[in-house]
Amino acid sequence: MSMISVNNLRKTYRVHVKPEGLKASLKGLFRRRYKEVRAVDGISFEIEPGEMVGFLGPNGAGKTTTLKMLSGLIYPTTGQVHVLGYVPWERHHEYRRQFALLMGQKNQLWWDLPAMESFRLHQEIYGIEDARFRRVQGALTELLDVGKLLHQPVRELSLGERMKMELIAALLHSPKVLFLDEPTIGLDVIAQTNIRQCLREYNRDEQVTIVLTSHYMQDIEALCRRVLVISHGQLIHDGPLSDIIDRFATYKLLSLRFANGDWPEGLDKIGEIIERSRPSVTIRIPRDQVADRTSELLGKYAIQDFSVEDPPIEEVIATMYSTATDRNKHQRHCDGGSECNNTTDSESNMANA
Amino acid sequence: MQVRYGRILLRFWKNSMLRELSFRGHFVVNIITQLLWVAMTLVFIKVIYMRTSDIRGWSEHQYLFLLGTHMLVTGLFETFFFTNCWRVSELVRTGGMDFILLKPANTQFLLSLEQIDYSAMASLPIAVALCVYGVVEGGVQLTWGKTALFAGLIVIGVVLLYSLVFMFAVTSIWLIRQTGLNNLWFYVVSVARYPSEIYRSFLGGVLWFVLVFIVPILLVANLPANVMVRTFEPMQVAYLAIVSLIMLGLSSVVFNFAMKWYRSASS
Repeated sequence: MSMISVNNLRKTYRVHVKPEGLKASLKGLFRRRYKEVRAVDGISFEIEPGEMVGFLGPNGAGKTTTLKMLSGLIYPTTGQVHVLGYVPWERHHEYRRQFALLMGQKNQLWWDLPAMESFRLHQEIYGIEDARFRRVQGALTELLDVGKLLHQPVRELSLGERMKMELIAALLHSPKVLFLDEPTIGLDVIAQTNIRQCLREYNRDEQVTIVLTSHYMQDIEALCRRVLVISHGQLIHDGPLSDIIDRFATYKLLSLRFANGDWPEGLDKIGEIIERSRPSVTIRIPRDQVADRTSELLGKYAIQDFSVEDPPIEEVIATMYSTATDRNKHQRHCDGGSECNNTTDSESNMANA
Repeated sequence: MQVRYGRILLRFWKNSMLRELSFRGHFVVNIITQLLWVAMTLVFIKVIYMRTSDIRGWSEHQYLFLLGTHMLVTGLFETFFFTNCWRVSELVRTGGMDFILLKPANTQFLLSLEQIDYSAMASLPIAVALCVYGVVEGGVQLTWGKTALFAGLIVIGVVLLYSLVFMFAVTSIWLIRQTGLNNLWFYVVSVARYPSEIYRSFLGGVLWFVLVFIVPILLVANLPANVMVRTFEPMQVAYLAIVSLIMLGLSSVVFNFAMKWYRSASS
């Protein structure tokens, strides 16, 4: 049985449209205009025990809303969700005992007290017995190397240290499912690496199922074999990160270093030159032409060194988001008209892929 | 189960105490403002009783006892519940309620009892002193029965105040901003600290009827004071107890209903 199963989940918000200007605002007191915002628009997926899944998408795509529904904080408009066999928004104690949600932008530790006091409170709320509490808390403190900071008021900690404490607080009750909403936001590279390391080890040792959202591609690359990409509330990709490149990267980057220290003429006919730094040059080449162009160049010029690389994943994802946005606009624009058949087809292809 | 909630409560109180201790000045300032307020009220009462020997059947000593009772009820409410009720709006607006909803324990319990305002306790010794003074100077015969009933009514009064203010606070789930809570509490405190009889002739007794029978906040201090230093009607005691329990149940229904609308602000 899946650990998490989501079926056709939707969340629609009714948002008050605030008109500009005082006069219009006064009118709005009596007669309010609303518009519907589809934050999550019919997504489905299954996650197996022990999986570590990354949730990607631009701001406002619906990632956090989905995590909040999985945690039972908010009710969906329609659709079914089962996590550990429970319906999250029924808020069973038994369910809440077995998962944790960590939010990078919110903190739950008592601000004026040392983190240890908040941990003790968690111990009472989750009913963790003393010996186990000491063992788990000791192990996590060691893993994140924050032993010295346990007795310092949380307000005096740096952002990274505080996030580590938040992580410990979230893991104290040994959850089976862990939702992480941008756990590394605003942290420096060292703290990010620490937290990643901790998550990887924790996932490996405890077989915890983890769903993670992040804007830092390194988080996803380092941790998640599987990635769900969501845009405008819809799932546009479900599979390994590398598949995104295969499916959405239309070109490769060819770097050349010429033997005689200078470039020959006419390179721009081969492809778009995106970087020149004597004696090297980087050219963007459509994927299906990479083999031909490379052999052509190698035959023609004296080349000291060359490499063919995929474009940076951030760029591919950005392309992917914008394609999704265009498609979305197009689809809504013609709303089921006959010329839209193509769009609908490609939509279903993507979902099947 | 009850044991676990007891332990959570102790931990809440301990953490609140630890925090209070890190702001030492707070407590002292609160005691001083409380004392000033009591001094002003005492002067006010003295001035009135210089011209009359009773207000609607209440002698000066009885009135002082009523004042002490009133401070006891409101002081207990402020110590245990006011900060928590006040925070509801803040937690809704910032999305901080998320963490309370995630915990495997009764959400209303966690929300209502997390903080304890030790500085509000400053009024309790003053309240007790006023009560003792009223009893001793008024020559009231104390019995165990009366004292127990008095104590029970204090608890019932606090429960009623909590239920009403909490329900009001919960409306912030729809309104998002709810800053009327301070005002509401100020009105409740102001209305309930006078003998209930003075409202009888006002507006043909409509206000009196509402504040005694519909939202019985007038009984919260008046009834225990009547029990102790004057005479009382057992029916009123039963009525207040029943209304408090109903209100407590209602607060839970309203809260659970409201939580379906919680939108969990920001990411």
